Amino acid sequence: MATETKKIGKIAALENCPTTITGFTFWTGADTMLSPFDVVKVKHIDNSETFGQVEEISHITDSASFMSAFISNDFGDVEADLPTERVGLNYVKARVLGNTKDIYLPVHNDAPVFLATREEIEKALGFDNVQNKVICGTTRMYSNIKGESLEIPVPLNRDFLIGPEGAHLNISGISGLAAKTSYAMFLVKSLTDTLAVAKKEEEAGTAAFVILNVKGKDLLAIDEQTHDSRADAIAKDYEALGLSSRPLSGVRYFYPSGGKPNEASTFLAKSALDAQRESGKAKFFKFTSDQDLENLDLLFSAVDDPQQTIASIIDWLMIAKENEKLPAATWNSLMKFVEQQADKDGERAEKGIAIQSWRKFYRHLRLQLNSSRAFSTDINDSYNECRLADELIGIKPNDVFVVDVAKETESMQAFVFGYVMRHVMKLRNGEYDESRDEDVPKPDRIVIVIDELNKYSSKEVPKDSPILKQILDITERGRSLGVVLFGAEQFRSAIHERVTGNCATKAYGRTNSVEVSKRDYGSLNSVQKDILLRLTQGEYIIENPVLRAPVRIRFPRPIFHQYK
Amino acid sequence: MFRIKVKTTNQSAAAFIAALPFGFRTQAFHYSLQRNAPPHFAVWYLRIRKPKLTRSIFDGILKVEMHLVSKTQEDFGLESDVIDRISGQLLREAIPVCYGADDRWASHIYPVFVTERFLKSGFYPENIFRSLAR
Repeated sequence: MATETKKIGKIAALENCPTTITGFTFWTGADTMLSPFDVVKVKHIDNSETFGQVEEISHITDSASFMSAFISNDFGDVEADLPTERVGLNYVKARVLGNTKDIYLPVHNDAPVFLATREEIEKALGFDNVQNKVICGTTRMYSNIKGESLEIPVPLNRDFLIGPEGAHLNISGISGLAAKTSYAMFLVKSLTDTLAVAKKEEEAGTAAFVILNVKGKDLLAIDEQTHDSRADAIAKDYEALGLSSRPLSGVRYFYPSGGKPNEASTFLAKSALDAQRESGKAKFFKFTSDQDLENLDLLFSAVDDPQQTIASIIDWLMIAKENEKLPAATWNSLMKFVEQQADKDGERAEKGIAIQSWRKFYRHLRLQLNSSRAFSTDINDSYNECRLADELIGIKPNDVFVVDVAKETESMQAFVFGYVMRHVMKLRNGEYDESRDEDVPKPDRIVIVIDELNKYSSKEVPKDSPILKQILDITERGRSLGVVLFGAEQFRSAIHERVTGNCATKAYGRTNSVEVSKRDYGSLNSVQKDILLRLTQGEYIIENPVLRAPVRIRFPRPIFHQYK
Repeated sequence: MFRIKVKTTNQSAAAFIAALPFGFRTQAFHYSLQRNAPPHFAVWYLRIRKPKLTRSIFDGILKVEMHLVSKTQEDFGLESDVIDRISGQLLREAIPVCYGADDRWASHIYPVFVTERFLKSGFYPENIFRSLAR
């Protein structure tokens, strides 16, 4: 039985503006404060109801022209006081979301239009049929209509967020105002909480998270309760969504080694770092030449290599290593060897590779290896040092790894990101099954969270970049393998189409007018694009296969501590 | 409110009304269909727009007819203060206008236009009458 709610207008099916299967227009009072994204209900035939999402709201009067409006103000007197109010109304264009009896006929003229109840809105937007729910925020309905405002949690099907049905998330929005990192972390929190609950009831699968911290100290205390003065209110916001008010648990932090024992290349204060280390949460990762030489290509991801000369040299080095002809016991010995090749003046160092290519390779290699102290020879367990690959190989369900690369150079950040992706893919491909402890279960899904995705997969990145190839591999094949990418960037239009195109879930944050004019925002209508320019911090427009229409959401402030 | 006395010269009524300045009214006439028999009316003219802003000199002139209903009004006419008050209110109603929607906009006050429109919306449309006439 349909619920009677506030009647707000009637359908107007006009000669030049008919109602259609996909949309309708209704008139409403000039003071009825509907907003874009609000859901309305229309009485339809066979005792059914059609739901629509408000798109455009227009206000008209019987003023025939601007001239009429000008004359009506006593020929342009801005202080003119009009004794009689003009006849005016709002007419609202709405997009059809569905009909309770799946009737596809357009709604009829003069059919009454109502506000909808919470249950009706959930049904109209497709929330009611969402399986394996994970909350991605809340949506507000009728926020400007007194006494009618509703705050509704928005669920996504986690099978469409982290697979196997659909996977990958792309978050876009301008720096600061969009709060991209905070939103990614909110989803991680929401996923970990719901998986923890679901685990007890069903075969929910398991997940682990690898988060790269690329800016300051943003994500270096995600297991600490927020120090925000509004902590109690924030906790209530989480509880209202059915989530715990505790920060993430099972978090381990990995810092690039600073070269000396217990020193790291990080922006985190030494005292905080020592505290993490002493509590066993922090480790310092290193890359050794004997084990990580195969990842050398990742160091050259930003180098344009149209003739494939650098790729040839790396290939040559790999073959030499296999044949035990490469003196690469240390990074220094490798560098010395390459230097020798580059020094063979006037002759070809190795067949097919020009001296100039070796010199170019040497210059880049020296620059990269000298840029970070993490390229080392020895790994000393007693100083909490580790090889990052070994830690990734041993990742367990519910683990949350934070890999801090904020203080590293851009190319080093790219190297670590590529390194993480490569080893996670290999792990899920089963390449490490023999070396893994059989008693330790492997997570069904591993989610990699990375901000500044534009650095690694923008349209300007060299096509043969190994990191771009790795990202494409994850976004195109990762869903079935259980490797999921949560990527964020300022400008979605700058990202490779095969990356954004494969993301099942899109979160559009506040952006600018130039950006929304790009083709990447073609799925949003003009009003939604305009809203993108006005979103406040903590607001997003979400698109996901299970939602019948884009939904404007907001999410609570981080529950974890963020260093200033 | 300014009043202009009707001159008793040979000036035609039309010329006199055409010369009415903005914001002025004529004296009111006491008028009845039959001599000293109801219905009685008070009738006067009022210019609600500046002549230079209208197409013709007669645009912006309102003819005001008021049905006199009380015995006093029938016997002695309407008090000047009442006529002034009504004229003042009509001057205020000069805006907004129905410019663009009705050619009579300059002499047509908006509440009357809306009332007309409301009443006409209940009429049969013109094309029905046209088809009946065939």
